[in-house]
Amino acid sequence: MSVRLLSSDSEDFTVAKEVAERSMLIKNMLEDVGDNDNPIPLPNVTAKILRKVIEWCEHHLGDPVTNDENERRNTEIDEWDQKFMEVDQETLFDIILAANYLDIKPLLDVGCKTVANMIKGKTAEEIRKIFNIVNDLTPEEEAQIRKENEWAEDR
Amino acid sequence: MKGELKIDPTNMPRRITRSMTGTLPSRKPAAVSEFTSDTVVAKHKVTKEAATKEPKVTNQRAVKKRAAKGKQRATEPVQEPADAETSAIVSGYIIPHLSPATYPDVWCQIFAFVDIRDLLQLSMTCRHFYQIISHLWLWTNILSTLGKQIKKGKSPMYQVMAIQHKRGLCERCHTTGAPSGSGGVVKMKFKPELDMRAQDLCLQCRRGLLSKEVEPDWHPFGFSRMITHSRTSGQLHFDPDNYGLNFVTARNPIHRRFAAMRLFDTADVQETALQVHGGFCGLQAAIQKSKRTRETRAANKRLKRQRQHEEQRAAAQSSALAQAHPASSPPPQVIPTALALPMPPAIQPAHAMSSAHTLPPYQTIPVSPSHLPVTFPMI
Repeated sequence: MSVRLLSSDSEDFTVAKEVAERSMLIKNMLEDVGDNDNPIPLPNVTAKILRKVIEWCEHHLGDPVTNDENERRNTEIDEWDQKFMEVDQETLFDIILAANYLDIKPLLDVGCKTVANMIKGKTAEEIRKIFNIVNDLTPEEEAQIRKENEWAEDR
Repeated sequence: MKGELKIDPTNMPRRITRSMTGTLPSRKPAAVSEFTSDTVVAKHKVTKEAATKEPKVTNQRAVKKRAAKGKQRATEPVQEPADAETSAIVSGYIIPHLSPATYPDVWCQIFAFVDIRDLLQLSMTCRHFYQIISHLWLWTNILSTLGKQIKKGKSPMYQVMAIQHKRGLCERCHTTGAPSGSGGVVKMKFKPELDMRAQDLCLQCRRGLLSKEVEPDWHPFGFSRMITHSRTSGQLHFDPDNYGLNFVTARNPIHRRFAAMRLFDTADVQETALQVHGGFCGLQAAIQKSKRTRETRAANKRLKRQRQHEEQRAAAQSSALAQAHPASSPPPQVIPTALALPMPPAIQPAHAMSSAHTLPPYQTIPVSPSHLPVTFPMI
């Protein structure tokens, strides 16, 4: 059985129901609507990102759902996911947003872990460079925050 | 952990927000438009809006005030509609639609995978990250884990309070352990090829990492292939009987009638020691603790012996005095030497002093009106 998904730029995707049901949002929608040939509109996801999300869902189709907090908090990413996430920052954040919207927790975790690994062990200045953040703190505020966070300094 | 972090930080209790503003009073808290001044786009927009929407000011005083603040106004943000679309356009981030102003909850989920030290570095990057991070439920969780009571009323932010009490806190699970030894939080070093900085970790977290061989290689004490029971408990600080390790018996080398030696396989013992103490760093902590305990015991023993010695000497002195004086008059009380105050030097008579110590003869200073500092008029 297949399901039709409609991206925000009106591209139609036909995927297996099991693949689509990796998304809790689509799963709930399918339960509510029942068997229907009409495509499910996803106004927050573009075709480019939806293609990536479907690719991920197809690869992780048989994965068990883990509720172990330690397992989820572990920042290690398996090799396939690492390659999957080797995209430009914009696409990466789009995938995170799509996973958040479609309620695909494992994909959201992988995206968040990828960003967390980009942050890991970096100084404030390095993080600003990575994400192109403009420092809008006044020197006094910066000094105050540094004083509050003295613990982070003694690395 | 993650479920807790999903809570939108903008819906935090009001008290935190108030203390937040107290910490950074120079600007308004958590306004999306505050971040608009960062970019060129924002500046253009702001100045354009300021030019178009500027109301006419008739009051002279207000005109002067405006002239004085003119420069500041040009860069300061104007209250814009805080809808997601607008902030997405004007945000200064490379990924505009994922600016922290627009999606704080997504950033909260990302921050769930970031260590405390990295979070604190992040909070120093920009105002909005600071606000998101200081409102994370993580800090209240840490405080509740530490058993710290959060006082109502005027108190610092939870983040500041949590950092103030951070010593002995595991960086992964945010729990505390024993105050010292391998059961406590110990700094764990990693192999250089892993490119990981040292972390303060509790026993459970260290044990979890052991299977991945993250610690640098160690060569503990140059043991031979077999190790005795007493040496295991004495140097590796655990009892091998409790862990069901296999052993072989051998005749006691000290005396043949003594209990037979139990010899354990060194590799097994070392592996078990690492598991028990949570890695080599844990074992070192256990060794240090036992060393400290030994030193403290020795010092206490020394003190006790010294005190006993003083008491014995005082008793001997008192008994000697009792023998010297008859029983009719009570003997003078003997103060133990340890308690006796040092006596001041005896005062010598004037004629016994040497010439070097003799004072010069008194001199009379003539007092004239000019020597007086102030002259008063005679009435």
